[in-house]
Amino acid sequence: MKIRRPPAAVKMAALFVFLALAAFLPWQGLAALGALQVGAALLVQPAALGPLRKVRFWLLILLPVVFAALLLGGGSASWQGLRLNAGGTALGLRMALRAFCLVMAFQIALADASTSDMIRLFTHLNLRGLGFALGVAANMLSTLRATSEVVFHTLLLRGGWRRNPLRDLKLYTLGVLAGTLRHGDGIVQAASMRGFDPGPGAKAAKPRGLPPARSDAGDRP
Amino acid sequence: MKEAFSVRDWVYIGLFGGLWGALELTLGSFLHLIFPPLADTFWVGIIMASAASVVALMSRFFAPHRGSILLVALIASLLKALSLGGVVIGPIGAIMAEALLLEAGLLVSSQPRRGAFSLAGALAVSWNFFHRFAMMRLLYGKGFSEVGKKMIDDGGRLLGLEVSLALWLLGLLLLFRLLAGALAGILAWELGGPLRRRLSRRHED
Repeated sequence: MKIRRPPAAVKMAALFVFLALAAFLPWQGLAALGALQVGAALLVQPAALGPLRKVRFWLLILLPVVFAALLLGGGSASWQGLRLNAGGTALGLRMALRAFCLVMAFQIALADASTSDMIRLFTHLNLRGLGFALGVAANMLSTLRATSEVVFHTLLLRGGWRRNPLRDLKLYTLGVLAGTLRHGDGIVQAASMRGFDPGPGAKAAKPRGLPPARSDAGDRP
Repeated sequence: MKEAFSVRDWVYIGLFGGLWGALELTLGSFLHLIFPPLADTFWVGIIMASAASVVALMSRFFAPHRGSILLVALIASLLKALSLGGVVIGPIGAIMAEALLLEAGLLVSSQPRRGAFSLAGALAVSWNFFHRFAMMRLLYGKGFSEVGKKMIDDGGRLLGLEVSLALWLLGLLLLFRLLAGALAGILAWELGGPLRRRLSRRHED
């Protein structure tokens, strides 16, 4: 059974609740919270379980258990010739559970969130400017790639990157930055022409002074 | 400095946040591939923090408001979080901590100045020194301090290292980071100022 994906606001609220719980719960509580998070992820956000398939994640989680069991205390038990300490193992388990809960909290909140989800959330929170800036940033990534390729090849065709790579790196940086800022000018003009207001209380701007769209507009010669 | 953010400010925040995010997604991933994170935190941290400081400090020329660097960092960390690599708490924590230190460094002067930029850059890159400890402490809680102290004691005894020598080495590593950060601040000043003036001239034309 898979429940419909919750909105970004609910996931953000869940993130803060999970973070607060992970900070203060004792180890039994952390174990319950971890199980709850895995259950919630299975139901609403299977993508959040992605890191559980990675060796690096389990290294991060289990290393403190090993270190604490081996290093702390005098060694109250023995396993395969290694002296283990019960107090250290308990402390290590608590650390591992806390790390697990924190990582899962972020995974559940952000694992399959999209840019449009976040923009919607910011607009909902009356932070239209921030949502607008995130949209600008997400959309400029492809422009940035094109600009950096053009600047790189321009420098290469002019004999750059051979004699004075440091100077060319500076020129490259300036070229990419200038291209990016020019792109920004275009966005500012477009947003201003549409009457966009990023102020906190602003509603979405509607075009004024234009006649209503006609359904037969496309039929005209 | 107290005026509300205009459309232009938000666009610049988006652009510089995008640049920072792109650096994290491309250069950051590339460096983590060359230097595996568990094996090397020194070079990756210094290169990434210095490059990020240059971008973030330059944004102050274009969106001259207190807190604008924090917003730039928020955009960059959101791009990093929403990227294909998945949610990585470490880099996101580093981005936000560096932004806080950059803002703190710029507080020394009400107007943009080379010294303030240099100080802000030094503070931001020095975060790299504390980052691993701070993130481990956040992730594992206070138990980490206990295990960490024991590891240092045992490790020092095993290698026969004097505590004072270890402190000297740590101090040297911190100093190196401070210098790299100060240089990044100066570079941001040298790049951002002329670019801003050039752009203003174009607007006047």
